[in-house]
Amino acid sequence: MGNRRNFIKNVSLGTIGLSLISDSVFANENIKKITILHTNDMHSHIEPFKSGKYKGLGGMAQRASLISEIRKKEKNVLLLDAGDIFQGTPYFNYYGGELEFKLMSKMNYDAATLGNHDFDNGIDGLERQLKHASFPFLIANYDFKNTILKNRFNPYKVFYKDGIRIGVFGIGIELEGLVSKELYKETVYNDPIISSNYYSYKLKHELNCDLVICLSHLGYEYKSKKISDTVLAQQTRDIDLIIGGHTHTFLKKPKITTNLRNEKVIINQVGFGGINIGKIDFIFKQNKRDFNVKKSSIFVKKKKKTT
Amino acid sequence: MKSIFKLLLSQFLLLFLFSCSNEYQIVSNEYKVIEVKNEQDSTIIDIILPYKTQLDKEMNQIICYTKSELKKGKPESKLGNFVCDLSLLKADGMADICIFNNGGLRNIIASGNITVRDIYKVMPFENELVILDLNTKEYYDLLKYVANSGGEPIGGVNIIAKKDTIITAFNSKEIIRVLTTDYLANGGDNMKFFINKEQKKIGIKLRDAIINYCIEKDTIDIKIDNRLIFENGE
Repeated sequence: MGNRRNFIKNVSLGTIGLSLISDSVFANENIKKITILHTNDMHSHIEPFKSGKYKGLGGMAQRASLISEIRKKEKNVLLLDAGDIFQGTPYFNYYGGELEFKLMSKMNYDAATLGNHDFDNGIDGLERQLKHASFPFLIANYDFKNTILKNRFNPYKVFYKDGIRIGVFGIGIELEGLVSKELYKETVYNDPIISSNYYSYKLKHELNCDLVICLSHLGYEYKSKKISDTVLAQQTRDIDLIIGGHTHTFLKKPKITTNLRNEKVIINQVGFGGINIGKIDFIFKQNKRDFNVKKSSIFVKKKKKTT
Repeated sequence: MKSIFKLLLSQFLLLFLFSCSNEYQIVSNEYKVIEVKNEQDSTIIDIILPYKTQLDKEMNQIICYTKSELKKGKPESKLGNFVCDLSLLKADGMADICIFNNGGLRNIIASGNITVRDIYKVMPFENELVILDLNTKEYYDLLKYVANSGGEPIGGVNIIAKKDTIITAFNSKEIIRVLTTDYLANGGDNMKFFINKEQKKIGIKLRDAIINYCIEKDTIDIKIDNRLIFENGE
């Protein structure tokens, strides 16, 4: 728990905390660095913006070279997207999202979640494009069992990077009122807080993840009591980072809030249209004491079964 | 009993340790927002190119000419009038009036040549045209909605909104057939008078209706015709 508190303190130090750790420290096997890269609401912006406020920014060929540059410098990169890949340029109207998925696959995205606009050609339209995506879509609170998308998605995935276990799960927004029922058909929306608490607990305490990330399309914050990333962070227990979308919010820096255990949760979102990429580096330190405890945790599970 | 208690206690302790037993702990983090303005990755460009070439060919087609710039606006606008009137023509007598929302018209159309791309920019969504039958109460709610919002794209009817009264046609009609998009018909933009009403599809997307109309016409000359008047400073 002490380390957790140190983390909380260090978050506020931000860059200072990191710059104190020299390369020689990284040579130490006890220190690991994980780099999270993230996008949201790219809305079919294959090419850079041609006019307006964001003229010259974005573009998937440009994003790809930026990501390769980062991959050359960083050993452990996880590349994630928080949904609304579809809709916004004629590329989607003409090709139905095929090119978006192909290019994301080429960039080696590790996972994405579903946004409301990813239903714009219906669940059939989404299903047709899945063959072009080599990365998984994670969604924990949509139930597709009575639809064509049955068994096509997992709620979460655990990634192993340099000995660090990273659990990622996805949370979608309520579709009713936002997407016509003809498009989402029998897709059932489940409560984001209940789903998040269930899967974040599972990831952190049963699958022993060192970092738990929620890919969310709920939206950053609302004036009403509507469920948002901010509410989700405060009403859950085991999420370290929420990568958000939907509200196209340009955060200069992540928002830091506290969960039900009074531990810090980081929320980030980087606008829309592929204008920005978010980069969050986590530094981990090995906790030696825990080796024995882990063995006994297996023992606990076995015992439980026999009682 | 005692042994069960001991077992439970030991399990509780183990569970407690387990709950903070993750092998690695986060000790610090750093964040950065990076603007995407790099050089292009050539392998990605190679994938995009065939898609882009075909798309540009479609998008750059000139389909019409407009004498003036078409902008959206309140209470009444050239762009709103254009889109409503052509949609009513498309409905071919099946609807009495037409309503859209200013928020749904996403761009202006500059004076001069109109390309397919211009229409995609105005209407990027896949919204379909639908017709709903409104009773007089619901129709009055629709008029109030238009008056309260300061004007929305409307066609087929003239409205004069005074402080407490709305003067318009169709007051004596029992059923008013309203043409709109499925997005609005499903209650989008808070058009509550449409919720749970039966929707009759006319079988065309709004964007395609605009494109087809433009292809049929050589030149368009859209006017503001005072179909929407707000009095008493409304």
